[in-house]
Amino acid sequence: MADTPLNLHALALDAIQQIDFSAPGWSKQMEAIIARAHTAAAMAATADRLGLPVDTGLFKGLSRAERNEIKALVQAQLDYLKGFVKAAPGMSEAQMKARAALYAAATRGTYWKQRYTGLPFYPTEGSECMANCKCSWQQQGDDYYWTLHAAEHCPTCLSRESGNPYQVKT
Amino acid sequence: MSDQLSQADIEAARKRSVTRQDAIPATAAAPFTILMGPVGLLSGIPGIAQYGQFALPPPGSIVRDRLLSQTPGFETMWSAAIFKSISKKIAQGFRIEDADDSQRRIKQAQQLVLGYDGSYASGLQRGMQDYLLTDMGMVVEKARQSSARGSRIAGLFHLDALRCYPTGDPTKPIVYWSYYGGYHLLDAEDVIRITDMPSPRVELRGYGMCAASRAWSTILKLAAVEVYFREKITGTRNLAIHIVNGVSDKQMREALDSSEEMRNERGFVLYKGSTIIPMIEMAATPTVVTIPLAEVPDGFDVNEERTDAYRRYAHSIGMNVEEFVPAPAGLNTGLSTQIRDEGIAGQGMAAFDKNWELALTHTTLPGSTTFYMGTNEDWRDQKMKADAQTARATMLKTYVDAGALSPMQMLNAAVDAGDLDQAYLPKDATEAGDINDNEKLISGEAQARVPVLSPLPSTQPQVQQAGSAPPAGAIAQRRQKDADEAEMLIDQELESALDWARKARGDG
Repeated sequence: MADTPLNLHALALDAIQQIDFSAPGWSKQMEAIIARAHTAAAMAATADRLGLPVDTGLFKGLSRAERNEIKALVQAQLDYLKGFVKAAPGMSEAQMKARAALYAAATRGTYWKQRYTGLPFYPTEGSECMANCKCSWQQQGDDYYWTLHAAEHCPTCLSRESGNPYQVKT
Repeated sequence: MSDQLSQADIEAARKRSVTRQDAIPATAAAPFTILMGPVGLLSGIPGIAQYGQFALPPPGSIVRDRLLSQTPGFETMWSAAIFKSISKKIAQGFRIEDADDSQRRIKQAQQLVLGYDGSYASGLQRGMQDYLLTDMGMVVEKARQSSARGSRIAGLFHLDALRCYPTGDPTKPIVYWSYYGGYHLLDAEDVIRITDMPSPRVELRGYGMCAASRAWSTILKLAAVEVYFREKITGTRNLAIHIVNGVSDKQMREALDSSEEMRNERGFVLYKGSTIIPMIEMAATPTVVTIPLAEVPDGFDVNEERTDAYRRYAHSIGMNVEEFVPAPAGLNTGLSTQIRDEGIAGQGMAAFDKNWELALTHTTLPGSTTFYMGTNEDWRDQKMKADAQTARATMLKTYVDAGALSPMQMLNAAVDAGDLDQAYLPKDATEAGDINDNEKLISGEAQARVPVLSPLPSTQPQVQQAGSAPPAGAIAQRRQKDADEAEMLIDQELESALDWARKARGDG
């Protein structure tokens, strides 16, 4: 389960890297990948939270509440994509690939927000490392621990770690 | 939005408000700007000289607060009034409730509150003295486990109001000057400040009008009366000059031979606080002319003045007048006391209770935990509650009997009012559209979550169109169109997303 967000990131990155940014229609492919990745992240996080396989009837059809939540997450990323599309004519293909790769990292934020609700902050948000954040949340009983993994950490993540443990606001 | 009042939400809202320009951001590097401002050290110096010997220094100054905080030492009854109001709050106690009945959370919250400044009773006594006796108010620090925003609160500590300087910056509202000289700039989420009647003036930076401010002139008057009578009784001050005609000073001295302090000055005798000047001219009969230096005015009724003063003390503090001035015995005395108690329950010191409850519940304790002043053990509260429930049930039954409500609707109404447990309901058929300030949305639909906003290092800002903004209707239509497109994409990618979720989790 600890690898789920990393695996999601890898799947999304892999798909993005196969896009030909020099050909027209690349933005449509990006839209599809964004929708797929964040929906997958939400589903995987929910399954992890409930301790069930993804293949139960749980995800055969999304409920209205689940759909609305995922829609909001996807919409936010699509808004960023619009900015990317506007800026694209002035960018080289390498620059576009690098920028597109950041969209894959955003799935980690979606995963943790769905996995543990009510915490004060989540990986990829509000820290200097932004989408490159490799931190995660670990639960022990009613306490939640901001966990640093093997990487260079920004001051905000270090500060969060020193504030352990945290409690969920219900 | 979480159930705990978020300082980040308030700050985000303030950025939309014109009041964002009411203060410059406070920084640790520039404390001198705080101390030298309108409420700084310099502002109090001309106060007494400018406004008269017995006037207070101008509002919003530390000098004024220093004077106000010493008023219990000026007059005995005022000191007793302060003691009475504070001790009543201590005796009231508190209780902690948790919507999920989490014993762990209740225990932790109880420990946090009990540890307020080392001990709840001590902390509250110190804090309430600042609330009643300084315009700055009661200041409580929330010391956190670490400097990370939202980290666990390790303890609550009383801060001396006379060492707190308001900055005017709502994000960092207080500078605390610690005893050994260090200045500490406190974040809004790390401090609770409860002020009595905070001023609406921006310049006064939240200074209010405490009970001592309101009662100042009465305190002075009563103190002067007590001093006058004390001096008159003990003869320690010259209260009058008596010019006696027809008695020589030798005769006067012999007549007034006293073993107490007697000063023999040429031409006059000082006796028990009065100067007596015997005149040489011998008149047929001795006469006396008195020149008063200090005396009560004609018609001055000390008891009435005292009673009036005690009433003013009670009103200034916000307590039941009859706690200081017993009502004359007579018919319905008990009932009138009860009515006055009920009347005062919604005003005066009840405002302090509410402030303290809201500050702890919504900015300090976890989301499902609520702090209440009082232990709910007062039998009069229980009886009043039962009476209200009975009246409500009778009213609802009347509507059911008249056919206006069905029994199920009556049941719903009783659950909404809190008279019956939710467990009796199959499904709530009446909308509950209100929430008290001390309640939290515990059940019900999950709040909409903030979408993930992973800022991209080279994200370009949205290009603004030159000229006028599009009409609101067009913006709404565009948003709806975007939302529809997002929904379509989700439907389109649902199967693939399920596949990715399976792979990411390693399921089958």
